Amino acid sequence: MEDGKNANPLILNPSDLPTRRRRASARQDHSALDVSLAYPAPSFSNDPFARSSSPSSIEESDSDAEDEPIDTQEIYDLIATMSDPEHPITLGSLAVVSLPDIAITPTIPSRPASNLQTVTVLITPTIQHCSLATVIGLGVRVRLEESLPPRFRVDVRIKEGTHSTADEVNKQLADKERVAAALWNPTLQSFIKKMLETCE
Amino acid sequence: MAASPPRPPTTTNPSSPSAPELSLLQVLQSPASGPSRSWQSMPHPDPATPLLASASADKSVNIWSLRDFSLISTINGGHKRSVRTVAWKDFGQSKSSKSTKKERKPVVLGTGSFDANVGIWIWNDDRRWARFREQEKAYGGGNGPLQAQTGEPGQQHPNTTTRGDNVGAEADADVEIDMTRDPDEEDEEWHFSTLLTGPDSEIKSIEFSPPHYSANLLATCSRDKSVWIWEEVEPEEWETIAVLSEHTGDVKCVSWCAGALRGNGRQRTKGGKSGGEVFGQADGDDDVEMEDTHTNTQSNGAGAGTYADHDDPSSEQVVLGSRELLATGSYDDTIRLWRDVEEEGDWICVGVIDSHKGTVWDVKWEGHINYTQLDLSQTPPSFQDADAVLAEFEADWSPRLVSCSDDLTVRVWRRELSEAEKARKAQSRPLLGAAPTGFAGTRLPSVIRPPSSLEHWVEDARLPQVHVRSVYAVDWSRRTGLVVSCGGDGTIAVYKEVKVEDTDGAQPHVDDMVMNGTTGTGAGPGTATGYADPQLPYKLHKMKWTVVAQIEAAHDEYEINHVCWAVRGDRGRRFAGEEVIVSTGDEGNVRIWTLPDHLAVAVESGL
Amino acid sequence: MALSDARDYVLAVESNQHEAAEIARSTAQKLESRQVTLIEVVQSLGEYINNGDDKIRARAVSYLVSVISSLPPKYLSRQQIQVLCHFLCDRIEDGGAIDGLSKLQSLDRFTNEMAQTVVRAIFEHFADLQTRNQAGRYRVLQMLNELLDRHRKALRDMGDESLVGITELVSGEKDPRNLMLIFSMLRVLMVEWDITMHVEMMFDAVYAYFPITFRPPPNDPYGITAQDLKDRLRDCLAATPLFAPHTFPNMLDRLDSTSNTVKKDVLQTLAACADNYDPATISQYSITLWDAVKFEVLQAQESELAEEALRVLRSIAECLSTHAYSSANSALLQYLKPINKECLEHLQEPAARQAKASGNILTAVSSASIQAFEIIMKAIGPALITMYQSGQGLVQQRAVLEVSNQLFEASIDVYGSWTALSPKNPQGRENLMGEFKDQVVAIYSQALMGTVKEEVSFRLTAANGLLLLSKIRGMLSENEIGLFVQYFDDIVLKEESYGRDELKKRAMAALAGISHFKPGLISDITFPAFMARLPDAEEAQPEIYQPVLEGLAEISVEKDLQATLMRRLLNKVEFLFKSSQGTSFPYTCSILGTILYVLNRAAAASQSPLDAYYDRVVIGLSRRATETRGGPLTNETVLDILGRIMNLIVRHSPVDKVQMAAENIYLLFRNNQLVGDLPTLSTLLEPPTLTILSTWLLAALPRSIHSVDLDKAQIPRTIDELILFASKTSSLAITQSCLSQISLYTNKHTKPADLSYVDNLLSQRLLGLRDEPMGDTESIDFGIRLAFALTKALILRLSPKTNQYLTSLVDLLDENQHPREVSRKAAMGFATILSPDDVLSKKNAAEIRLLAPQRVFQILTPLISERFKASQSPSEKENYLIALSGILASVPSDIVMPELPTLLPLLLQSLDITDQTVKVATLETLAVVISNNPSALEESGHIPALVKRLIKVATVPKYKSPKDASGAGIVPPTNLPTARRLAARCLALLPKYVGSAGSRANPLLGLKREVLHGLTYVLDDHKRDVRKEAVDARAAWLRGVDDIDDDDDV
Repeated sequence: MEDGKNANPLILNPSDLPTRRRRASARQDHSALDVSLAYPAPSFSNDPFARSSSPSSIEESDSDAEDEPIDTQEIYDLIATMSDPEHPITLGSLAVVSLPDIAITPTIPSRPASNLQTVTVLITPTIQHCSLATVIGLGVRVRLEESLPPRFRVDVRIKEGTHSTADEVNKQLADKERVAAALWNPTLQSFIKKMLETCE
Repeated sequence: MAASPPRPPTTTNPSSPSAPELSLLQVLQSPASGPSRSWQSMPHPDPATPLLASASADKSVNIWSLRDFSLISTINGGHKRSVRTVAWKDFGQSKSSKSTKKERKPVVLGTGSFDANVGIWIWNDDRRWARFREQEKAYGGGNGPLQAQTGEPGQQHPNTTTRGDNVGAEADADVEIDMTRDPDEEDEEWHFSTLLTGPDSEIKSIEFSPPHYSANLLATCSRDKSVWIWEEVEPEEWETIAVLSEHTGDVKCVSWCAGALRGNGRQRTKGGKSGGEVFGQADGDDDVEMEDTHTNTQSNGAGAGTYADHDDPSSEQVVLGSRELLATGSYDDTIRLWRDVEEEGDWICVGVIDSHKGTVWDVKWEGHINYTQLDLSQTPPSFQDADAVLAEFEADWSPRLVSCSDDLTVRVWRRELSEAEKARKAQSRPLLGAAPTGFAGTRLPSVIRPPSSLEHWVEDARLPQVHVRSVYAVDWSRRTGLVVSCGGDGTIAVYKEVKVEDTDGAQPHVDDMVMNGTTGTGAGPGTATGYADPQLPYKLHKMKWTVVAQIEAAHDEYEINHVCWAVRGDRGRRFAGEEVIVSTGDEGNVRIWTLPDHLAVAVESGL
Repeated sequence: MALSDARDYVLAVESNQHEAAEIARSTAQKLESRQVTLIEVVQSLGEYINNGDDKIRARAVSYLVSVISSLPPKYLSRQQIQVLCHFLCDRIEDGGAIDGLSKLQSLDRFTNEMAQTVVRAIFEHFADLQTRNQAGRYRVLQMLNELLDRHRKALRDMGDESLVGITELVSGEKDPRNLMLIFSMLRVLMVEWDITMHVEMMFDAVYAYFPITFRPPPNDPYGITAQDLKDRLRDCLAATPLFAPHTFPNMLDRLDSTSNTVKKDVLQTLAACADNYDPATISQYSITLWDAVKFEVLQAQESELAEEALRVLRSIAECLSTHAYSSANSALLQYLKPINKECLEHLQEPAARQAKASGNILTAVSSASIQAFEIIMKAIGPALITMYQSGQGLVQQRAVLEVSNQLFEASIDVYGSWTALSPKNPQGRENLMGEFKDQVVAIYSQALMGTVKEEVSFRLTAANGLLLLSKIRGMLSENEIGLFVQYFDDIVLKEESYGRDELKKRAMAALAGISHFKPGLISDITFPAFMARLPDAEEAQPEIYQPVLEGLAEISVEKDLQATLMRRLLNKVEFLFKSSQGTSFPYTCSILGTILYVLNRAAAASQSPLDAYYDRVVIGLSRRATETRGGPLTNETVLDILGRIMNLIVRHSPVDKVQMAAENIYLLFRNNQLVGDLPTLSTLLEPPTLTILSTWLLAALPRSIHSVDLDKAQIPRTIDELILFASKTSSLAITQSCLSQISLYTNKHTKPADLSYVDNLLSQRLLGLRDEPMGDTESIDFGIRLAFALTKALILRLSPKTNQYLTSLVDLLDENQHPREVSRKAAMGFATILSPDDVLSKKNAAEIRLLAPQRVFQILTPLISERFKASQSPSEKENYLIALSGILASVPSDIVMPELPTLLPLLLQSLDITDQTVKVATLETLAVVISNNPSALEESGHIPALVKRLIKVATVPKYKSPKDASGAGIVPPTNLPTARRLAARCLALLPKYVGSAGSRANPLLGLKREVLHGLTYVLDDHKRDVRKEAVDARAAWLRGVDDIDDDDDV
């Protein structure tokens, strides 16, 4: 504790972490159990001779018909799988990141035409004076910047009242130049690499 | 970022006629296979050397031609990490085709990198130089005074272009050949002259001192919270003369005060007084200012040297309001001003501006005298008097600062003279028309020298707020006085300072007035209240800033890291000395923008 | 003369081993035949044996030794042995002497005295053992080891002399091979000698080597691992309780080591000690040990160490449990008290990490023995209950349940489950938990059923607990478990699904679990509940019946349950068959599907022969189908599944039943005999959908079997009829079915000799395809299908003309010889050749040669690629690529890899054509190539080309903003999400498998920036799956491909 590490953090159970609701339509396994049960397609049902090469002929599940915009759940899935540098536990299960603390808003509200969007992530360090808050924040920002298209602006901040030096950390995390420079630092690089290992 | 005043309609509605869009002249595609972020682009200060250098996160620097926008060379291998900043050494403007005969000045580039080092490079490619000279001729000199002298642009343009065409063609051709013929000549093209090491962490910004300074200085700043000042004691030999560490956060930008050219480089005054006198009166204030006299006269000398071969004295370029003064902006939200007060190399912080609410990303000095604010309506008809008034105005003129910040604002700062200074100024002021009895009066015994050299700086104006993300860069045109800014929201905005009742330029916005209300007054030097100050022998208009042009998503969805003015060098230019805007984006490209015609014309016609 | 032998030997031995051996052997014979005496032989050595040069001496001795060795075991008398023994002992340091002695000691007449003499000789001469070379030392040690083996008593009688002697002799040894010997010898001493006087010495002798830090040389011929040494060393340290006063303190010191490997050694040693030392000893240290070891669990950094630590704690408990079970104040109790105390404290913070650790500790120790369990339970049980009831919030409460679940497992461990008795509970002691069971059941029931469904993990924990509880042998009554079954039923049937439906899955699993030990409950409670949920009419929502059917299938593993299930399902189906309305029958199909699934499972487990269902299903339903003219039994899909079921049953029925099927392929067990002796196919296959059933029946038949329809004379006729029949029908299903039958006949029931008929048929069909179609495109279509069906049947059995068949198929792609549509259709047809086929399958005894795919692939690839190169027309080129991708889709990668060089260019080309199916197939292949054979990819030098194309495929062409000077080109059609996803996937794979090998720089390096840049657009794809892949790909390239010139300083 005294060295700003939390030896004994509270850990959420994976089954309680938010997950994307299955869209019954998209999945063919509408079953809770193994699919082998879904009866075999009749031998004549797939007919290579008859298939056409035009995309239109492919079944719904694979068409571009429905658009799937980037939403908070997706952002969450991107960062929740990262692991805390000091415990081999994911940020999700440590509740360092949580779905309600993620927001996606238009960057320039006054301009509906603009496709710029701002992702705001509030992170909750495992303890008030977690020495690694900055690194975690940096990790999250890096993860999002390399995983989101350029039209996204990423704001990573410490959730109010959850950290002793929040303002300091926030200012650093908000400073594009410092973040860019930090990534040249090999030690930080390896740190972040470690955090991201669990994502791939 | 809370207290942002309601944004003028111009920003909410691009179609609004009041803020026309900039038009894209050219995209300079980063040559890299997978381009990475570019941080900054700088045009060479001398229009006769139309080069543009851009700093890239991929450790390289690209050098472009502002004539034909071709990529001239890419400097690699100098730095181990991203190149964050570039700067050209300014030797003053070389004049016209005649000067090509003379020994030309070297082209010197400085680069600052996240690897904590500063590199100094010298261009050693005569062939290309020759080529530029050629084109220089073809284009009939790139800059104001000469243009004015050689009369009608209209008359000259046609043949210029024709000649320009074929010469340009040859030139281009010979680039092509050359490029293919000898690729590894690239390395040789830029000679790595000096490596400056010292700061502990990333270099964030560097700038060479202006040519008329008493010494060749280089200012660098870094994340280690320090500002370093270097002096070139021998050619290509640099020494650290000061390390300034009052800033409590990493230092983002440095900017030298260069003053402005009298008449903004345009020939205007008939039978004007000799610069010396003007300056004699200009620095009535204190002994410190005496130094400036010294420098300025000196620089005059130098200046005279540079255009000794000019028979027409009227094209003399007199620098006004220049002081050896450095401004720095920092992560600690403050702007600091530094000066070598005792002339013994002990640089101290002479001013702090701390009203920004976020990191100060960029500061720039005013390099253009806004004569439009001088109200000549009631001055006596005699030219003499008009001249005198003008002289007074110029004598009093001292440059302001513009800064941009994470707090989303762009603000202009002005120095408030201490009472003592005002007093001395007043007493030193001669009666209109009478012969100047300048110096004696001002010579105070050193015992009653003002105790501190501290300067008081106040917010002069807050520019209409356009940006909704961090404002990363701002630039103040030396030629037109226009200010341009850019930021994380991908928007570029151009601002103009206009008379309040004035209706040309953009029509006034209600909230502009409001803003002037809030920022006290838009009035010029020395006057906080009104513009009929009895102390002053001249009247000033009330001024305000308004957005005169802007472009959104200027780099598509990417952030814009830097924006600046550059003298337009390509054949398409609408008039000599036209300026373009150069913006640099996260996608690694540099984009060149031109002002809408009416605006361009407006600024061209000047006063 | 013996003298001469000695000389000869000494001279020969260096130069010619073999000859030397001969000489020795001959001497031996002479001895046997009494031509010389042993004395003479020994004397004959005289001059050499005392020679100054020890080489000579060694040779002399070795002569003697090899003579001895070549003597029959019984030859030497005790005296002679005695003499030799002394002789050799005196010269023990000379080469070979040791071997001599080791030979001697193996003889029966070798006495204890001699053994001792030898030992003494060793002590005497080898005091400086460590100064000798490894081989020498090894020889001596081996000798000692042999003695210790065969003459242990003799050595033991020497008492301290041998004890101290040996111990000192071996001290200071470093070589791993020797140490292996030494450790095992020392262990013998420790165990069998009386070491009370020398405990410390003995301990030090081995402890000196702790911890073993030995890394075997790269290719070590002796293959001794550090682990081997560690194991033997551990055995020594754990050899005798006498060591306890030394072992434990030292070990506990070492436990503070920073090296995890050392810690691990320590913990394993401690466990070993606990296993071997006696309770009395252990009881003295148990608490000290607990205090030291617990941190490895409570502050666990390495889960592996935590495991080891738990083993220690458990071993201690086991050891102490061997004390006669008794006394309120047993050693065990003493040991467990502090554990209970501390764990209880931690458990007050139930959700914290240390509470979880405490849970593990309690589980570990309590599963040691019944006694242990009861002590723990008495202390912890009530506490847990109160803790739960006073629990602040579900998180804490769940944690409590987690812990108790662990204890349940321990309880099963010690008391046994319904299915398995526990060795730890021989006299079937009653489970102590009985005391709390009511409370526990109440709590868990409430937790499972009385909590909002959003609290997934909480309810999951509860469900686990209930299952565990019901497992514990003799703990709960039928109705209590029955109650749980109710719960699980309700969860599966009544609750609407939520999140990942983990709870439903868990409930199902629980029911399945219970079905193993309480089938009665399942059939009485679950079955009715589930069946009641099954609708009676076809028009029903899948959401209703699907889970029910799956549930039923899941829980009916047990034999009787399965029988019941089948009965009930068949009733349902037969009822549904009654209706004559409807056009599609998903519900019927689902039920049939379930039946098929269950039967398959049964067949796989080969529980019961399936012929139990023969009459009802095969005969009954076939017949019924012949009599139906509408409704489900005329529906193609229904009949297909039904056909599969029949096929399965027939295949698992006795011969007579199979024979019966063989005679009913087309008759389909009709009872009303049709008029006319030989009814035509078309009359029999009425309604035509019956074809599907007969196809599956035909498929089920073994090749060997005979029947009218399978008669070689009949088959060509049948085929003709089928072709005719098929060409008449408009139903694809029936056409396919006929073609399947034709393939079956061709592949299974036609002798190579009779293939000529098929050949003709094929060639004439192929010929027919050349000329422009006159009007009816159906004929073309059918023609091509037939051609491929026949070829497939022939190729799979690798008939001699395979090569020719394939070539003629490839000819079809030639647009100069065939109408375009023919070529295109044929191109698509290639997918069928090797694609798995449910009808023409191994299961159905089809003749499928192992090498078939390989042959086909090896013939086609070069052929296609060469034609591709030759071809001019783009559409024709495309045909070749389509054909190729068709093959690739169904060829195992290990066959593809060798052909890569030929293949890669084609694959790259395939990425350029618009046909999505081709793209997808290609990308799938490429994914395999990248992960299985990156080297081939690198050698090909195609990587840059590949990468560029992958980016292109993955990217949705973006609308270019007018500002962008690079201008908007023609927008190519967007690829399907699948294609885009796979492309991104391939990009993600590359860095994982392609890297810088040794000197060669990473071939991806040059592409890194381009890829990263290209992928930024894919990050904005409007399909989530595509974005996901793109994200992974970028991550892989960002960190998987690192620039060498990076990381300058730090």
